[in-house]
Amino acid sequence: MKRTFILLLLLSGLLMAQSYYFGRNKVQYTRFDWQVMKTSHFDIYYYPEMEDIARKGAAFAEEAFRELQPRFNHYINRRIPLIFYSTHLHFQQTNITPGFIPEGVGGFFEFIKGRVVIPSNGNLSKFRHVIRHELVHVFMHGKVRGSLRDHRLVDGPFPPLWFTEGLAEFWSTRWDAQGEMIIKDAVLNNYELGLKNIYVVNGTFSMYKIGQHVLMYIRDHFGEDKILQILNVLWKHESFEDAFKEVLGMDYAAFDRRYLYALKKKYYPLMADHDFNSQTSRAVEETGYNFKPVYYRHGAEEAVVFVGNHSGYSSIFLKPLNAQDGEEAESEVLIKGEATSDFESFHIFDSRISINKEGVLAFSSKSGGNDVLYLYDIPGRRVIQKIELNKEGHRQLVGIYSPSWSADGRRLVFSGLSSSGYKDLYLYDLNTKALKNLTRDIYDDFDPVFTPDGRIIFASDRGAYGDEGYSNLFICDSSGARIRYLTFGRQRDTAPAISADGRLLAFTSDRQQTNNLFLIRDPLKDKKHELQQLTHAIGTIFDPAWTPEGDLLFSTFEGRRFQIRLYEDVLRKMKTLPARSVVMKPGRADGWTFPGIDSAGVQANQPYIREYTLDVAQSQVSQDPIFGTTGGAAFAFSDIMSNDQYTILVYNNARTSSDFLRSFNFAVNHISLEKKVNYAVGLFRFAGQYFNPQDAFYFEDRSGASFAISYPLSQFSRIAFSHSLSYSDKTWAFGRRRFAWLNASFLSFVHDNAIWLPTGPIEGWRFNLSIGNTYDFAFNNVNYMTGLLDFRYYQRLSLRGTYAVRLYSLFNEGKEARQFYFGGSWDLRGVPRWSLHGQRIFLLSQELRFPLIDGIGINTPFLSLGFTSIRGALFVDAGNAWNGRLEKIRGSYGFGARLPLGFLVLRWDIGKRTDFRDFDQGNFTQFFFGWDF
Amino acid sequence: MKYLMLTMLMLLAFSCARPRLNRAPAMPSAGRKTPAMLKGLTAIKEARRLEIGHNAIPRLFRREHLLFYLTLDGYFYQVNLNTLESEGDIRINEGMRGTAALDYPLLYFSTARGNEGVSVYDLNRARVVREEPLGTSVSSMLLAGDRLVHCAADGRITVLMTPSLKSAWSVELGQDIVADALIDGENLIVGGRDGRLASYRLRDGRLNWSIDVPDAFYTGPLLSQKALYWAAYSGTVYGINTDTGQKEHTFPGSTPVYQSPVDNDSLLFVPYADGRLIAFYKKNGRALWARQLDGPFSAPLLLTANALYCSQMSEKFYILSPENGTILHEQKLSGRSLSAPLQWKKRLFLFLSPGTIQEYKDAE
Repeated sequence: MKRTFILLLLLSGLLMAQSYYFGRNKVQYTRFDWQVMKTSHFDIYYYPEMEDIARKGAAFAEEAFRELQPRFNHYINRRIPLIFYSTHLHFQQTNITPGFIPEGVGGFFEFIKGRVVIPSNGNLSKFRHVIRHELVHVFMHGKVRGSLRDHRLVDGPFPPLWFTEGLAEFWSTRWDAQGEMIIKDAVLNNYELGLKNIYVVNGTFSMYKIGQHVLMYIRDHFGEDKILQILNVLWKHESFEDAFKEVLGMDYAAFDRRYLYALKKKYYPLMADHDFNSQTSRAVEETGYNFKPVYYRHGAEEAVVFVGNHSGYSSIFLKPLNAQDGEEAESEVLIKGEATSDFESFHIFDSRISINKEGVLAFSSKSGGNDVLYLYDIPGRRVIQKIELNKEGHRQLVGIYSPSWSADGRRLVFSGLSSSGYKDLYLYDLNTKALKNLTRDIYDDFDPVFTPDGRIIFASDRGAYGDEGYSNLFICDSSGARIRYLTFGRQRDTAPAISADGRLLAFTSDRQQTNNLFLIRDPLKDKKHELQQLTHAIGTIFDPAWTPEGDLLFSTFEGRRFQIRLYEDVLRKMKTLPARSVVMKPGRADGWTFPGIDSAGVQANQPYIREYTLDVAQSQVSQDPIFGTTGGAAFAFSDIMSNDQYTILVYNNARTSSDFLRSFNFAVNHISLEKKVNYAVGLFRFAGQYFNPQDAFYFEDRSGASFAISYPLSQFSRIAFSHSLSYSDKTWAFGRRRFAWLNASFLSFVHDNAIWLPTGPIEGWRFNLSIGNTYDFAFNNVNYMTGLLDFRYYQRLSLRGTYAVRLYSLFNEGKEARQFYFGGSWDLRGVPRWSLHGQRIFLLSQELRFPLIDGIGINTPFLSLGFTSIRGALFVDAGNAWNGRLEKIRGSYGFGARLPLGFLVLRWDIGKRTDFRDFDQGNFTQFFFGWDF
Repeated sequence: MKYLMLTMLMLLAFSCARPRLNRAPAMPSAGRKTPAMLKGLTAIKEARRLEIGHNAIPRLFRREHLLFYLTLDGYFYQVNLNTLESEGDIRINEGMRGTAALDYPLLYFSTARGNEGVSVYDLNRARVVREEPLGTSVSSMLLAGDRLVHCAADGRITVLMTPSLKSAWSVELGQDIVADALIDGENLIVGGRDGRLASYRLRDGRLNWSIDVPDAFYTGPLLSQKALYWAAYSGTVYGINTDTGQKEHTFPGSTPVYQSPVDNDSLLFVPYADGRLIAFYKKNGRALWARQLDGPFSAPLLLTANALYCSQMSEKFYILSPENGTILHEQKLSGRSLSAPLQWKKRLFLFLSPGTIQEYKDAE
C-alpha cells in the first residue's frame, strides 16, 4: 500500500513534469497569451494572433450546437470548454492530453473536464468539420451518461469506437472521396470487414470511414432515427450489440450479411469500366506507405524520390527507376525522419517535395517549434542549407508545406500556415533571403508549383464552392496578382503538376467520387481550357509528377497500401481521350466567407484566469499482515489548460489512535508544464514501518521539501535535475536511532528516440545517465553517492525483427548507502524476483526479437478469444548485485514469448541459469506483465 | 418476557410485510375538467419542494390531492399534494416504461428490463401478483373499463380482461410500436413506428380502418374531436379523420418531433426537437406563430385555457400565451423537467431531475 501511494505520487508528480525515466518530451516552444471568449454555450480559449479564426470557430460551434440538439434530442447543460490552436504544431504542445499527438489527429474530446481541443490547419471547412465532429462526441457522451443517470445507473455500456467515430463523421461531414477510397478498396480487394470483424481496424482512419458508411446504410435502410434509438436504449443492455439488436432487430452477424451483400451489389459493377492501377501502371514502390513522388535524374541514373514510411520512421527515399539485370532495386533512405531534432516530421500527408535541375531537393520538416525549409544535395547526399524563416524575422510563419522550385532554381514557392491559423502562398528568394506573402486572405492555398514561365499554379478553396469544402486550380503571376481559375466546379481538384515544357498540366480530381488523373493541355495560354480524364481507376490516385519522357509518377491507395506507380505513354494515350471544356459559372465565382460570431453572441471576452478543478480523486484502505491497516487518498487538480497541476496525497498507517499523528503521511506537489522548462515543487512527510534486507525492520519519519526541473533539449533528449531537503528520524527494530538532515541532489541526462511495436521497442536507442549525492549536513550520519547508467539500443534486422541490447548499472557508495533489489523477469531473468540486493548492480541483456504468431483464435460455444502479434525472443542475460567486491557473474539464457493484451504485455520466459562456468540442470520459467526493455 | 418478544417479532414481521404506504389512496373519479379548460398560471414563484431522489416517468397521474409518482427505476411514491409530503413508497421493480395503469390496488405496467409483458402489482400486498408474457413493451398501458390494452414493441396488440387478465383479443399491427396508443370512445387507435395507424373496435378487435403514412413516428397520436394529429420524426404532422382514417391535413416541418403536439379548439401546438414551437391553425394548416425556445423539449407540453407550459432540456421552463406565443414567464429550473407539468388548485408542480417535485405558486 505504501509503495502504491508513493508510486501514485511519483506518477502524478514528477512523471507529469515529464521526468519519466525514459520517454520523449512534449516541448512547450510557444508561449500562449490565452484569452477566453464566452458565447452562449461555449468558453472559447484562443490567443490574440488567431482571434479572427477563433471568432469563426465560435460561430461554427454555436451552429453545430443548434443542429446537434434535435439530432440527439439532448442539451448540454454545462459550458463547453473549446480550446483552439491556430496550427497543428501549436496543438501538439497542449498539455491537456499527456500523450504525443500524431499528425493525423485533427482534434480530441477529453472526458474528465469535458474539454474539446481543436487546431486549425488553414482550411475553414475542415475546421468546421472537426468542430462538429468533436461536438458530436460531446453530445453522445452527454446523451449516454445522462440516460444512465436518469435511470440511476452508475455505469453501463458505452458505444464502441466504430460507432462513436462513425457517428461523429456521419453527423459532421458528407461522404467524400476518402471514404469511398476505403470502402471501395476493401470491397473490390475482398477484405471488407463488417461489424463482426471491425476490431481489426480499430482506431484507424479506415474504422472512422467504415463506421460512417455503416451508419449511412442504417439511415438508408432502417431510418436515421434508429441511430438515436440505439443510444436511447443502451442503458438497458449489457453490451452495445444487444442495444443494436433491439433497435434494428438483428445482431452484427445478420447485419453484416445484408450490409456486405449490398456493398458487393454496389461496387462489383465498377469492374466493367474501371481498372486497378496495378493493371494499368508500373509498380515503383509497393512496400510500406509512400507519397509525394518526384522524378530525379543524375547522369544516366533515373530515380524517384518520395516520402514514405517503411519501418516506423517517416523518411525521404530514393529508388532507381531503371533497375539493372531485371532485379528490383532497393529504396535508399536519403533522410531519416522522426529520429532527430532536425527532422521531426515531414508532414507526409500534406507536404510535397521538389527537385531542381541541379539535383537539389527542397522539402520542409518540423524542427523544434516550427517548420523549416531544407535544401538537400542529392548527388552529395548532404543537407546544404537549413532555412529557419522564423529566425529570419518571420515569426508568424509556423507551418511550411510543399515547397516548389522556380525554373531558374533561385526561388521557392510554398504554402505557409501562420499563427493566425490561415494558409497562404509565400515566395522565398534564396539569393536575397526575401520572403514575400503572395496571398493574404482566409482561403486555403496549397500545392503550389512554378510554371516554366515563372507563374504559379496552385490549388485553393478560394473558388465558388470552397465554403462547401471543394477546391479548384488557379494560376497567378509570381507576385500573387491576377489570380484566375484553371478549373471550376463542385469537386476537389488538387496536386497540380506541370510538364517541363509547360504544355501539359496533370492534377487529381474527385469528380467521380474517386481521385483520378486529369489533364489540361496548354494551361498557360489565355484561352478556354479543355479537360481530359486520363484514368478511370479503382484505387485512389494522389500526387502526380511528370518524367521527362511524358510519363506520370503518382501515389495510389490500392490493396490497403499506399504505393508509388508509373503511368506510361501518357502523350500517346491522351490523343484518344475525349476532351471537354472547363465551364465557368461567373455568378458563383466571387469568393465567399464564413462570418465570425457577432458581438451580440459574445457574452464576455477576457484574459484567461487560472481556475483549478478536480481531475482525479481516489481513496483506498488496505490490510497488510505485517504493516497493518493503511488508508489514504490521492487528489489531483489542474487548470483548464493542464499547465498547472497540484497533486495531494494523504494516508495513514497508524495501528492505534494514539499513533495517528505519528503515522500521518502526506505529499503536496505543484507541477508547472506551461513553459519549456518544466518544474515541480513539493512538501512531504513519510512516516512508517519499512523493511529492507540491509536494515531489516525499521521506522523512519522523513519530512521535507523537494524541487525538480526538466529542460528539454529537443523532443528526444533532456536534462533533469531534482533536489530534496529533508529531516530523517530513523529507528531500527533492535533499538538504534539516528537523526539526519538529508540533502539529496540528482542530475540526469535522458535520450529516447525509440519506436515501438505492441510488445516493446523495435528501433532507436534510449539512454539515461544519472548521478546524485545524498548527505547529512548536520550530523554526517548519511553520505553516499548514487550513479545510474541505463543504455538500450535496438538494431532493426527486418520489418519486425530486432536485436536489442541493454547495459544497466547502478551504484550507491558511502555511509548508509541504500541497497538495490535485483533479479526477476524485469532485469536478470532466471533469478527469483528481487532475490538479490546490493549497493552495486550490473546487467548486460541481449535479445533477439522476432514475430512468432501473427494471429491465433479460440472459438468455443461459450467464448471466443483472439490474440494477435505474438512475438518471440531469444535472450542472454549476465549480471549480479553485490556489495564490496564482485565475486561471480550470474546469467541465464533461453526463449520467451510476448502476448499483447491491450495495454499490457504478458511475457513468458523459459531458460537455464548459468554462472558461465556451469549450467543448471533444470529449466526456469517466469511470467511477467510488462513491455520488453 | 417470552410473549412480549414473540409479540414484538410478530409486529415487526407484520410491518415488514406491508407496503410502506400510510393509507390506501382514495379513488374518486378523475377530474371532469381537461387541462385545456383550466385557467393557467401566467407567472409563477417557487414554493415548496420535495426531494424524491428518483426520476419520474413522462406522465404521472393524480387522484384529487394524491399524486402517484412512478419512477424510471421502478419506485412508486404516494405524495400528498396538500402537504407535499410522501405518504409512503414501494420498490416495484427495476424500471418502468411508459405510464402504468392504476385500478387500485392493482397497478399494470411494462417493465423497462427484465420480464417481458404485463406485470400486475398489488399495492396492498406489495408484490407482483401476475405476469403475462406478452412481449416487451415500451409504451403505456391503457385501461378502459374492464379492458387493459398492451402494445408490444414488436407490434402485437393484446386486449385483456381485468382483473383476470384473460385475453379478449389480439392482433398484429405489422410494425414496431414505440409510442402510446389511445382510446377514442369505443375504439382503440394505435400508431406504429413506420407510419401505420390503425383503429380497432375495443370490444372485439375488429379493424375499423388503417392508413400507412410514409414516415417514422416516436410520438403517439393526439385526439381532437374528429381528428387525429400525428407528429413524425421528419417534422411533418399529419391530420387524420378518426372516422374514416383519411389523411386530411399536413402540417409541414423538417425537424424531429419527440413530444406529442397539444391543441385547443382552433390551434395545434407542435414542439420540434430544435426548441421551436409552432402554432398552426387546425382548419387550414397555416402557422399562426412560431417561437424559438432554448433547447429540445424534455417533457410533454401542458396546455391550459390561457397558458402553454413548456419544459426544455436546457432546464428552462416557459409559460407562453397560446394566442400569440408571447413568453409570459421564463424560469431557470434546478434540474431537467422530465414529466408533464401538473396544475392543481392554482399551483403548478414540476418534476425535475434527479427526482424533485417543485411546487410553484401563482405570482400574480
